[in-house]
Amino acid sequence: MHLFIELLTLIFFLGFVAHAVAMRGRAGAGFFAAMLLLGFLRENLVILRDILYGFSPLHLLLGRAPLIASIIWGYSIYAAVVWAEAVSGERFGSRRPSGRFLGLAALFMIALACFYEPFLKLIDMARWQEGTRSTLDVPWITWIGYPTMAVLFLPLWGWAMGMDSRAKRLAALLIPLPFLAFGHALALQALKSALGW
Amino acid sequence: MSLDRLRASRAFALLPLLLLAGMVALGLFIEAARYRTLLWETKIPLALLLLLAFLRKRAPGEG
Repeated sequence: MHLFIELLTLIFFLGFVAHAVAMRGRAGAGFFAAMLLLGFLRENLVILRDILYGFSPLHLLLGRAPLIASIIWGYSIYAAVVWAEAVSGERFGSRRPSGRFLGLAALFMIALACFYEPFLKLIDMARWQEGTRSTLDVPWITWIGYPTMAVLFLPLWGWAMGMDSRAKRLAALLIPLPFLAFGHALALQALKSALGW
Repeated sequence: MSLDRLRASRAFALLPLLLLAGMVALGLFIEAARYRTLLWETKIPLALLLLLAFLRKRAPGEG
């Protein structure tokens, strides 16, 4: 079952990448490359520092973390962008998204957390820390973790893509990205501990 | 169909959301067939948001 879910998610991820490239050209490919790097850094930190959650032994890995954990961020945030575009009529691109757009993307990420987390627990794929507080098997901390990742990444992307040269765009994106990846996981763990969640 | 026409197509623009809806349906199938349970309540928020996107009419002038 785990391998089936891993392969299915990978196929869907590649489908999303193809869609992004068809709709947005090189920016679409760049968006997923950045999200993959972000997911890779964040999820490997989660594994190496043993924070937030762990995983059953899975088949496909990227570094020390499961591949599915690294790619799910790009997959989810792109879905949130597509949904927010469809609902708001605002096109996401080379400028900072509006507050309304970010709010809609955040809402969609929360709905995704409600979908993913109970399923991952049922099939014993992801294991949150002992004592993690949850409702209907959705850990409370995911209602902060999922939307904040989108709300932090999307303005960074829009700001970086607004730069006037490729070198500036790359620097504006790649320098803050590790801070975002590591900071998000560490801050979430700190908040979870502080709130007793 | 040219790439420009494909990009202009609303169905193609919403394709990731259609795939996601398929994933929700597959999740329900796996839960019922393999685990003899249905975690339907936790899928309501996502299902409603997807429905909203599919039902929303395109605004005038929207690409």
